[in-house]
Amino acid sequence: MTNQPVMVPNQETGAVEPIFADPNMPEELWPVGPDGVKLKIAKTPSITTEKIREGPQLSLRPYESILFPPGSQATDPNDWDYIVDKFTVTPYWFLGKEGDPFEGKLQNIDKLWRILKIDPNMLHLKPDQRLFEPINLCEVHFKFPATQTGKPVELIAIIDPEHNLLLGWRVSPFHRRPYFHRLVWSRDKKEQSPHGKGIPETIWGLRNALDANLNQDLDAGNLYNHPPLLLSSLAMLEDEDYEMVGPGTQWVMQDINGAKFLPPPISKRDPLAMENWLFSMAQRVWSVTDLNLNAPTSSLSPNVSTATGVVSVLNQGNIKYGHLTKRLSVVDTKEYQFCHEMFRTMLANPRMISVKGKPIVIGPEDREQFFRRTVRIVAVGNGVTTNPTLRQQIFSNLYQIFVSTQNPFVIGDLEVYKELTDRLQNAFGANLSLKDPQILQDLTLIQRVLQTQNGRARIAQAVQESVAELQAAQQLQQQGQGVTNGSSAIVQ
Amino acid sequence: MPPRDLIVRNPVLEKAILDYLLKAISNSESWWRDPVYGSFRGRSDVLSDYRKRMEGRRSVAQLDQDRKDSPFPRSSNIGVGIEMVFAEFLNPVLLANTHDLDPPLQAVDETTEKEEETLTVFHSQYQKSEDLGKRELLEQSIRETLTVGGVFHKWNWSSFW
Repeated sequence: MTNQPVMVPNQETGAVEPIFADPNMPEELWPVGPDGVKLKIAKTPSITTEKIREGPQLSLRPYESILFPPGSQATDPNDWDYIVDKFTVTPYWFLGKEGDPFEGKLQNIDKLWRILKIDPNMLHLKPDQRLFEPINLCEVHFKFPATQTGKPVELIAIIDPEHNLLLGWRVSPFHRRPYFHRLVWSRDKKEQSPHGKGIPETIWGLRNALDANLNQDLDAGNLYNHPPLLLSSLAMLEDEDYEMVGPGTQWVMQDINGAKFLPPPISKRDPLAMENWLFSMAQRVWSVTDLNLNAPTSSLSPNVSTATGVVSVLNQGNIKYGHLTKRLSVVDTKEYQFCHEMFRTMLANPRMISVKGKPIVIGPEDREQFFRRTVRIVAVGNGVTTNPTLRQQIFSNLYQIFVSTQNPFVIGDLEVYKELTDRLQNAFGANLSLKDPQILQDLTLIQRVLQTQNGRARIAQAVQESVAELQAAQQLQQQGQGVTNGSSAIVQ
Repeated sequence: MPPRDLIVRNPVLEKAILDYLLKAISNSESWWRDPVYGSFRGRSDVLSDYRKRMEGRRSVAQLDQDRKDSPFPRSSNIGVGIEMVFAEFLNPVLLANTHDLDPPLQAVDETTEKEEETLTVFHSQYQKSEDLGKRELLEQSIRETLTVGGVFHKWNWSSFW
């Protein structure tokens, strides 16, 4: 075989290694192989690693993969006796993970290989279907009296429940469990479940009714759009009789007793109105109205027909919507704080950030100080004051009220007036740079002076005097610098 | 003198941990098979139904068929996926009012009650960094929350080389 590296045993380690060579070695010094042919120097591929990122990493765990003590009602997993996170791996996942569990490695993997009848050393040489067989594992965070005094401590364990194997356990390095439960609608306590409620559950009945209504309407269409003519063989109906229709018509029948009117048609239902109502109600359970969705008011919300009604529905929707946002923000705050704590205890490499254009490097030695305990990280979203549409409405209304009433605390105070203007334009997404109130006040004053009889001459004189003062100050500064430079030169 | 709360690994302790965890898992899994309050169906089945509803599947009878056999053969069985109509509206709006805010968080020193601007900037930048990819995950997270009622976020320390 050509272009294969020559392998020789390493006397120190006993391992077989290629012969390393200096790429600048003169060709006449290149060694000769056992067959007498001069060897060539070739590049050997190798791997260099570079840190791409370091820090907290998020993953989502659906309800079905999380187990908790039956009967738990607390929504925060940190309050449960334990939390079990079920996940699935293949045998490849275990390669290179054997070691000391207290250092994050796994134990009893040799037992697992025996159960699975897999030789880990031959995995890459003889791949077969067993390598793709899923293995169900559980990561458990729990309190257990593992100390010699019997004091419970927070542990993390990985087990293979199908094969009764404890694959690893260690004391938790986290200040709380790294699981955060996101929900926006709590469940009634009598249901003995920490889970939240989603849209399908809360509008189950409305959706059933909507589906039923639609399907009945479709069925009715199938039956009555092209209705069959019902003729009884016993009816003895004369053709010329039933061809006559209209007011006053009489059909002479031979199979009825006495006289009776033709049965009236089945009363017409209005399925679309029912569907509109059901849809509208279902949306409102979750703070959404057809107004949010830009649908015509008369289409999906037939009972809201006035401007006052529209505003009322929007406001109520915003309250409910604000509640949803707050529920998420409460959990956000816990997650942000958790990330802060992880940076404080785990940052192992320097990290550079930019604050106002200035780079700041945070090293592992600075982490305790920079990410200090006394700092609380709080999510700012609350849905009411952060809702862009609502903010625009609030500030527009406020602005109009203050201006129309010439409120002295706002209109009379340029600082406050500037802040209000700033917030108003930000609410609309604008970013105009507003002048400092003092400068604005000075400019206004100058403008007034300019409008007086001798104002322009006075301002011109003041400007000339100011320019002269500035020039004098600059000259003085330059002279001072010259003296300083001169003394430096002497010392040197 | 060794610390009193020493943790010594030994086979007895490990056996006790394994036994406890196996029992805990067994008990917890039985909860999922229990019928839901007000229903005869197990909790796993009900969650599966919620997911199908959110996908716009049928609700009146068989969830996987467009036709049903009652009240007459081949009668209609269409599902109107209204849940998704406003769930997919709520999703970006909830994101806009939480993660997308600039900044989405504020670092406050409890001792001074003043904002630590540098930390606010640091954490905001980290949470929004493309490497972390949090926005896409949050979109899935909110969708999951609106579908089955909630989801768990798991944070772990990670170094990617």
